[in-house]
Amino acid sequence: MTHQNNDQHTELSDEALMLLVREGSEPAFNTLYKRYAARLYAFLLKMLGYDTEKAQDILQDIFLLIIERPEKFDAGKKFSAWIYTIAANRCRNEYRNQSTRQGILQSLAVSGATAPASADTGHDLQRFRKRLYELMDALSEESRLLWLLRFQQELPVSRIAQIMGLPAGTVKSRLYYLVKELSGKLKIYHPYK
Amino acid sequence: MDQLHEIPDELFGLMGKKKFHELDERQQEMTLQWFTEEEFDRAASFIQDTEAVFRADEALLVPDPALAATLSARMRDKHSKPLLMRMIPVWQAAAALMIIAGAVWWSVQYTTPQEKTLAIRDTVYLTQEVAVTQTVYDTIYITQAATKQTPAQQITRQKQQQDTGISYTAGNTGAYPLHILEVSSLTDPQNAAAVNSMSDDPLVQRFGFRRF
Repeated sequence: MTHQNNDQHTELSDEALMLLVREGSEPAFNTLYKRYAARLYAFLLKMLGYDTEKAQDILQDIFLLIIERPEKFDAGKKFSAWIYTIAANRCRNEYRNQSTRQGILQSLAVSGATAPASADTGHDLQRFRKRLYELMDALSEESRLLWLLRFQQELPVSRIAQIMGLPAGTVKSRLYYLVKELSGKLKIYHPYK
Repeated sequence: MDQLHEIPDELFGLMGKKKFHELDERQQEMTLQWFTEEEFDRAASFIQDTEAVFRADEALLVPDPALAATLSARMRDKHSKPLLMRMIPVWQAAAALMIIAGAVWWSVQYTTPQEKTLAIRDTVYLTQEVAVTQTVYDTIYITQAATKQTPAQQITRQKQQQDTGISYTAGNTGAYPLHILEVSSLTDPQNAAAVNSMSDDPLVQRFGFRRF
């Protein structure tokens, strides 16, 4: 029965699922968790320099908020914008405590997470990866947030503007300069392009 | 700068998927307003490789599977609370209070107080010992030989006893016969009862006694 409910819920929008969560629907909550938990966790890891413990804590807090205070969600708005706004704000709070922040590469080395090298990309992906994380470490909090929301979470500009509390035009111009800057710094890893 | 605000969102999407030569004519025309072909391809390669790195790392870093079970249980617990434990909106609580207050006010206004006498009834059982006096009657028969003597005989016998010192019994009382008047002689005037004065006495009248 629960499995059947879950199947039915997969076709519903995030906003419709949140309405069901308000009414106490456990399958609706589980569907939302499946949709967002992994993506949010990846986002939090990159925002927090791959601090798995903090990312896990914040992920739990966000979903507890959905359970305990579902009325906080404005049904007239996009669920993804709401949940990423919460996540971004939590990351900003963590950024204020700079002593807990460590580099992404350092964190990855500690966690033992290493991406396998790709044999068919035409360049050394591992070297590219190392340089990418170095540049991300050097980015400001807002630039990193912008980068991840657009190119990791693949959110539209309008949604990013809502999350960051910026006009859409400002988001576009910042994104334009960020893409140009980072791609220029990493062009040596794309000799054939 | 103002022109940058008008960059179509679609352009950033295309960078993550295609190279410049893969774009159609409309897309190439749109792209060339903001990037050169080389800039677009460099940006596209960078974005596509970045996304590949992110995907590879994310596959290795997944949230703790126990978290899903914990949150699911929390969700279940929250909504299985008893009715009295559930939170209700403030307006519902306020409405309930107003209804209760209205009911109290109505009962005070439109109901007359009734004087009630409180009667307390109780039953007390007293145990009393009743003394029953039972009178036992018995009859005792005493057998005694009856001696028929007239009062005059009794007087005579008492006188003989005094005179002679001999106690007379019933057997020897016949020595002194008594003079017993018959009932008929009571009508004789000389035996009549005395009246108020001796002068009225028939004997005095007969024998001529005088008054002293």
